[in-house]
Amino acid sequence: MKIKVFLGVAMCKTIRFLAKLLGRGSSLPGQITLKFFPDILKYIELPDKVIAVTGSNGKTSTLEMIAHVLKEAGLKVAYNKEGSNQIEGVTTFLLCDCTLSGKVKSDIVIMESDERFARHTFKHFKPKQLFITNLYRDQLTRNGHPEWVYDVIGECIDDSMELILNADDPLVSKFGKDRANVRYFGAQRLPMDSEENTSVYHDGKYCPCCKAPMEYDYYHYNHIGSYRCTNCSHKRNDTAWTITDASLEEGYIVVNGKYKIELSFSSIYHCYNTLAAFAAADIAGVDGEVAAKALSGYDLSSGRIVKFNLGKREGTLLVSKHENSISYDQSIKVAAEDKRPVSVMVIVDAISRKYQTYETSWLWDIDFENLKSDNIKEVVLAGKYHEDLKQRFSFTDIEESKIRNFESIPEAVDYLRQGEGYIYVITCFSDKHKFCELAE
Amino acid sequence: MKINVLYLYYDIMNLYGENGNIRIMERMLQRAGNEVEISRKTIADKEIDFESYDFIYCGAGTENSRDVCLCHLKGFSESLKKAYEKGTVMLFTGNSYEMLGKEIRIGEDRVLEGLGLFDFTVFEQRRNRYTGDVTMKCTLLDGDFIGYINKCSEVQGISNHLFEIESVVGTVKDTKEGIHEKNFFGTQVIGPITAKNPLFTELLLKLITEGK
Repeated sequence: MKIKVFLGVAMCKTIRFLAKLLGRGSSLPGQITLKFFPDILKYIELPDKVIAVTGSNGKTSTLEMIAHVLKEAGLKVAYNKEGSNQIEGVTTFLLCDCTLSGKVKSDIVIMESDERFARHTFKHFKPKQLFITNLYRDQLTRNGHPEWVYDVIGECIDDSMELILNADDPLVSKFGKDRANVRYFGAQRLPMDSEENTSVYHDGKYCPCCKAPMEYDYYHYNHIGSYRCTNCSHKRNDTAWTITDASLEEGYIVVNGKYKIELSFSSIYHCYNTLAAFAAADIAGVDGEVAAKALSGYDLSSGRIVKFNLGKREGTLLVSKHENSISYDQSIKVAAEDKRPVSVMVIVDAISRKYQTYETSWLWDIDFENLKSDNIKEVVLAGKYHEDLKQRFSFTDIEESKIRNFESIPEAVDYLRQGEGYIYVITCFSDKHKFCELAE
Repeated sequence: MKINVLYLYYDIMNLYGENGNIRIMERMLQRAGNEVEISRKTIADKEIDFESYDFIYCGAGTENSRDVCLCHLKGFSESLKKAYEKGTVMLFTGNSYEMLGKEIRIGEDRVLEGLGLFDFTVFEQRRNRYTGDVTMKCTLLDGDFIGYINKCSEVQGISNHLFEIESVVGTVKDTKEGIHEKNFFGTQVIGPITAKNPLFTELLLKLITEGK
């Protein structure tokens, strides 16, 4: 066994070294090592603290923030910092952090796991805590639908793991139903909440456990809020880590009534990711004051928010996810709530950079209606799917004269250069660079 | 003229942009000079008179949602059958049309009785999903039909398929797809199919207004 571990670790490290020289990604070393030693993860010695994060949105951002806090607190952290979140990437970063006898050197291991593949990644070892951030309509081309993803995540969960669940997401919190080893994080009623769900669809209207109608006291956004089933016992649970106050205008959250954290970027998403990072730091034994200080004003390096100039105009690119309507809804909200006069550009050019699809159904689930706002002076639609966007926008009440569409992204950008006011660009990772290389 | 539209299970059979279909149909019917009234009905409704509509649409849902709808729809079996017999135009997309066959076999040990409007059987395994962009042909259309399939079942025992699948980008294995009987159109394709297929939308419009 020791030989096997030695060979596996040595192999992974060597390939990693060579792969880096060749500029190859972080999953290849793990992939090759797993070919020779498929159960290698069973034999490595993990530290006491192993925390994993999965869910539809926010995995990478949350993980980056957890890593930042833990490092600030003086801990040595191993994590999949390059975002390779399937078993190959996890194998790479774990083995590369090992001694040749197979002992992980860091004090703590944190990792994000692709929600569909958690069952493979956690076959040979289990994290102590598994955070589940949210389950949305996301990349249905790969993910079937949220209830299907719920089922496949369920395959990796056993009684030994403590689940840390988003209490405000009714499907996520179903994992905690009739379970002892679980704690929750969430937001209590906040000033910006609403009592009505105004989204295009409402995935919390019916109970995920029994499909009876649910009642909501309030919504933070979409179907995320405080709910209870009218038939079974499913409801929003009490939270161990709570956003007790927040202001997106002033850009802060207050956790558990006493830790104020300044947000580098005001979106409700970022509030949840920050809260999850705070909870993870708490579990890792980091003092609340230290965690709040480290998280305060922390600027994500993963490039989800990019500031740019276009001639004399300034703007922000909000990286959203194609095939994920809630992520678009959030970006739209940011643009609609800006008090300045703004132009909004939406780019859909390549739907995915990882697989081939031409699927645009998700455009109809996005609340583009919200862009009908006095501050929004103009909407520019661009990319290969500009006609699909235009068709979808024709069903909003936004005046036709405010909407321009271009197949060519450079032409759309040139057009925007001429105008005035702040610009928000809403697009996906797969199309982000096409804009960024044209902006300053 | 006035066209009565039923948007069935609008709030639960709406997996992926299905709302687009009803929005497109409403606009196109209005543009053709009709007054359109849309009734939205769902599993909480106790009274639905299927015969009173000129067009009935139901979209795709999760497997669990479809099971609940099937249970509800059984209470309206006779009314739905009469509407079908008299030639009401119906469009059921995704797994919603699976409710209207003989039975749905789920895995090895569960069987749900269908409405029995058609003679097919659904075999569902809920484990592997078949997804993909499809290009299909239909004898009723003078051009291709495009769409997106996302399912975990196979339907057997259909004699009048609606489509022949010409190409797939993804994991869908079928060569024939959907069902067409009288004015009933069923397809596993999900999402806003009327937005993507104007020829098909025109066909529906023609049948709806002629039927009136």
